Amino acid sequence: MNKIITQVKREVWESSGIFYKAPLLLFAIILVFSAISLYSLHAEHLGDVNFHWSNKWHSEGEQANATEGHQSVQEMAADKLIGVQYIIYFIFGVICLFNTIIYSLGALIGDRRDRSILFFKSLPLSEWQVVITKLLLCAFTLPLIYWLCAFLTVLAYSGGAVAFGTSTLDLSGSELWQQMRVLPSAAAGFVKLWFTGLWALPLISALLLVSAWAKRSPFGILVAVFVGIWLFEKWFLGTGYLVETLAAYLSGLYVGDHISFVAGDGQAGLRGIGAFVVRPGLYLGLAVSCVFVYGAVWLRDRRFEI
Amino acid sequence: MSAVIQAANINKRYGRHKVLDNINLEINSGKIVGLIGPNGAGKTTLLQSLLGLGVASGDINVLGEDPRRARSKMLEQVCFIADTATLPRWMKVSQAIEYVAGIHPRFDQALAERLLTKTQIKRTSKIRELSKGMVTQLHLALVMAVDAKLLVLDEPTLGLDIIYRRTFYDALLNDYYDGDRTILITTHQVEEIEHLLTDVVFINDGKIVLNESIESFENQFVKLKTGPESVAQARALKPVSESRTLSGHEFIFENVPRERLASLGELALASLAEVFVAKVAPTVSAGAHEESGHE
Repeated sequence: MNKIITQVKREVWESSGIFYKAPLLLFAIILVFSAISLYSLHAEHLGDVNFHWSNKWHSEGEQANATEGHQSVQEMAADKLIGVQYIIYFIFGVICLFNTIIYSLGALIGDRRDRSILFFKSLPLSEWQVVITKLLLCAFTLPLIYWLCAFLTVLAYSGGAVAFGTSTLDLSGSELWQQMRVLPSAAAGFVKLWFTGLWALPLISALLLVSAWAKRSPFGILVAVFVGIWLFEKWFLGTGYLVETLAAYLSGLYVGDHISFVAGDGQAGLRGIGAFVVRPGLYLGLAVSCVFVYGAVWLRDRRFEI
Repeated sequence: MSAVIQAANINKRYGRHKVLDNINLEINSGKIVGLIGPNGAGKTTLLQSLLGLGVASGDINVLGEDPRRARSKMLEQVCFIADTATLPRWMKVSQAIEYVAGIHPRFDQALAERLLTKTQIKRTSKIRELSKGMVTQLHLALVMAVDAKLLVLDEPTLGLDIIYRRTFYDALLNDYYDGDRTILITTHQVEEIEHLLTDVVFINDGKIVLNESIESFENQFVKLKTGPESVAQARALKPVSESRTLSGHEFIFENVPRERLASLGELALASLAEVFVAKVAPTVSAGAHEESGHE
């Protein structure tokens, strides 16, 4: 276990940009922009609120109309505040996806390029341990880190939004917090990331295999292999299985339709998990992943020199 | 004395080229063995095969393990420095120590730190900021802090200046070697390790051409310095090499009794380098012989 923890540390030291600098930077940037947007929203609504407040001394009928107008402004603002958290999760998700691809493609070529593989291979650590650690980091740890940063960002943003809503829009703080559903959304994201990681294992294994195989530019090789198979299929077989399979597989990465925790309905969540685990593609993907990982280990054991 | 390395009938090919040709090698504990050969002789391939870093056919046993099946377990008792500057350049010195401490069960972190205090290396430095000599010092400190039974060094001082080379071997001999550990070294700088070795193995074209203890080597090979008057008699005794010097001729003899040579001139110990050249470059020697024969 100590070896695996040390190996994880090594990965974090080596790819610190991907593991913590990028999410922390994103955290800081989003908070700054959130603060700016809340301030803008504040300036935008200040006139309306003052207008409604000034109507308090008008007749009862006029006050009722004004209150209605006030509520509609509140709802619009609340919608904006609530919607932003999903944008935050989306931004973190996209950056996590890009960084996972970059990390996977570089994971098994970097030490071969600078020959430090000879140092790592001089230590009592098997290639299985190396490759599987990298695979699990890509599939689960990176998404977990990005989810955590996204959650903290949303939490900080939501705190600001509630403060803004109560102070500027005269909203009830507890109601706004409930409407934002910060914790249920985070919990749903937390559960989904494990299933997404599980579904993504064959894709990440394929990237690791390319990384172990390539002598240079793994991304170029990946694209060349894909385009080569696609053209071969198109020209000689007249089929498009590769693209269709890949599209079907990639669409499966979105597990939101199957697993829903946002509603707080435990039964629905369990049904979603049940639907996910009976997907035949999951097991086919795991089998493919095993083959790719074996291939990557085989290459690392036998053809590691560039 | 138990065998640390046992290799029998080791063969390896790259396409049609036979890199290792039926190698048989046994190295006992407590030995410091020099594996010496010209470029492309198969030294690194042999070391890699012994360490499970390359696949070769034959029987290999290192400290009771087959490195092809149990490399990770074997490496708990074996240290390995392949070439200079293979430490990851992105790592900090402190991270390198922490990493080896986490991976290697027989690593003494305090000893590594102590060894580093004898150098100019700062713990906070990145390896890419260190000179090549410093990287080698760091690597040696990491290796010396491991309680290993076998240390394998593949051209460990390549590209280093004379001071770092001397420091490296001094540290190896004085601070590391305790008489029980086994060290296997490959190098081009034969003369620098000559005084360290207990055994020597010459390899050429994938074959072992000499495998002797230094004691036996010194008995087996002798250098004769002679003048022109004894050249013909010396050649009649079939030297393994002959060369001309300013003062006359020098011959290297293998397994020729010293009493037969003593009357022909001055006898001296043949150095490893001289015998190496004689054994692994027969065409050069033959050329020299032929040339001197025409004179």
